[in-house]
Amino acid sequence: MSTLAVEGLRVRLPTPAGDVTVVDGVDYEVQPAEVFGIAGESGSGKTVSMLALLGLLPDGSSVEGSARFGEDDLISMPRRRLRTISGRDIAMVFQDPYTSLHPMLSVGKQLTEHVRLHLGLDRGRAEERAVELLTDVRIPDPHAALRRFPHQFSGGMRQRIAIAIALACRPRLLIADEPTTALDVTVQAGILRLLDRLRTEHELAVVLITHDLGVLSSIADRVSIFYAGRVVESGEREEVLRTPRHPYTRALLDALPHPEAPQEQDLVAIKGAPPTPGRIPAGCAFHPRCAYLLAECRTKVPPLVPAGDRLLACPPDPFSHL
Amino acid sequence: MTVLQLEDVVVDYHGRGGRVRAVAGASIAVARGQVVGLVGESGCGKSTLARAAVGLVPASSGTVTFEGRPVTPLGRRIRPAELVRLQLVFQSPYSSLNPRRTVGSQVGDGMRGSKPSGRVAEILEVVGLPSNAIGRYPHEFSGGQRQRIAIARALAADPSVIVLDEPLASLDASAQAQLANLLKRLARELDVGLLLISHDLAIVRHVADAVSVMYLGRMVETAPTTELWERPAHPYSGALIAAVPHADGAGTLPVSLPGEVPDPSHPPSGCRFHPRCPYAFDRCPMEEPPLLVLAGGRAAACWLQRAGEAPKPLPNLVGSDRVQ
Repeated sequence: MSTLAVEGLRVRLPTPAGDVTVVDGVDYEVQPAEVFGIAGESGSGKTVSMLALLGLLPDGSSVEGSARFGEDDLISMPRRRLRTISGRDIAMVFQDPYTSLHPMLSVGKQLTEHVRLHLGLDRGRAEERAVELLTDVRIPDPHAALRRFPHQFSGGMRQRIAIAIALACRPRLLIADEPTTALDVTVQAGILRLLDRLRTEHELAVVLITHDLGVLSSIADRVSIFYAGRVVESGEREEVLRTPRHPYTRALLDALPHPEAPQEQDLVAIKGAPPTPGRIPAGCAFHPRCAYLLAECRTKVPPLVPAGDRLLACPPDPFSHL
Repeated sequence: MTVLQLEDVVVDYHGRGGRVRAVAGASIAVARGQVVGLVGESGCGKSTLARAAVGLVPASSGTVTFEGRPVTPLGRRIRPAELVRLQLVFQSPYSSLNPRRTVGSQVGDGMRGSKPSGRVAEILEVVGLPSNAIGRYPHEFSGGQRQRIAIARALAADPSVIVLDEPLASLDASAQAQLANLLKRLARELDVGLLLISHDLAIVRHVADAVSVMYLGRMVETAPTTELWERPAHPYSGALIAAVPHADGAGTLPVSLPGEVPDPSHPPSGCRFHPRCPYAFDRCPMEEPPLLVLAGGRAAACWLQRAGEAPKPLPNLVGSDRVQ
């Protein structure tokens, strides 16, 4: 049974110019020990779709759809109950380990407070659990680390500590929002390996949000590509990234520096810029930037439908022969 | 011809904890029309070296010369007119542009004397911005466009060298590709030399003609870009390349380099990289290797290499317990 099943998620956010739809009908499921990857450019609704599940959107936002987590629906449940679940059964890791840790509290305090609050352990047991967690995320000398403060650690170590805090209450679901974006590649590789080990060892379902298709390709099992609040292509990692069929997925991959491409070759940028929420083009939102558009693309919103080994929202399907 | 030259530059920061040597003797040179990449992890001293290159921080020793004249650290006096042709573009186009002044007036700042708006429009066109950008404000533009505005402002001074500190970080892939192509074009068409600081070796590979790799305040390898990527001579360069994740759908985890960049105020003995190096042997903790000049315009600071010879390939360690 899937750990999380999201159906028909729609999010509207209030802005000075009126409400705008930021996420427009998104479905996905995540299984235990699976990494589900969500990729797209800034402003595509990847982060908002996660914040909506945890009730972290600003007042005045409206959320439709359902998000089944075990027996519960995260979207319709009372806020109080959601607060108990998030932080315990659902954990989050954010992009910036510099701001997600409290600068004035020792690492030990941040780890033990958490487990005492959610699991009701006494001080001694909580400290044991904290050392266990720091060992699990490979922080050298965990006993000493408990007494140190976040600024005494490097960015990579801070992200490991943030992951330890996230794992403290043995969550079933981990939401990682750009967890390696602020880190060096060498450190990023370490964090990806850590996440990969933890999801197997802890049977953890992971939703990984990233703008980096390289990161997605190294760790995700299944992926969805977001564009302007909708999923344009979804399927197994290998199929989607090796033989992308949506022109947007293909364009995103073409924009990356390819390790085997000749150095003199220019990178292929996507023309134009992603649309801002509230000003989404009619029809297929990608059509003004698409090289393969047909007349219908300008008027009809393409549904996400099964197309062989994947789901695809592109009726012209120009790469189906590949 | 070399326009910007840094030789044996040392930069110290003085703080409460004593002296920290951020750059411990590093050399790099940029010619007109050439793109030189400078890569390394955070804390390796690459941004400090960039600042020393334009005179924003004083060098404790070593020399920085630009068009044959010494680059003097920025002081209270007006910056010498010649140094205007040496420009710097910062990482964040959100904080380096004034939010309350129009794009046109900020680009015009770079010009001496009269500021004809025709020239401003011309420069905006070079960097791929619409001519109506002149009267608009920075917040009306995306991150990638703002970075072009910052580059346009540098170009307005008719520079012979632009130093760019992480200009491609924090941009989406497509915006990054556009900017990378623009940088290549500036070097080729305007004959500007670029010193491109980046932690992303994959993008540097597409832009730079030559690359220097920095670790803990020192250069560990210098090579033409393609050769470095295909046959790294220093284990640290090899580790940086192996850590780049590939978007090929294969599901291969990138290789991680164990350990952390050490504290620059207490660098390790001998080769500074030896505690993290999978190939370290008994000589490495004892003696610091100099930057050995190898065949083919390459140099590496590693005892695995021999001066004057072709760079030896690094032994393959995949599957060994010395890499993760």
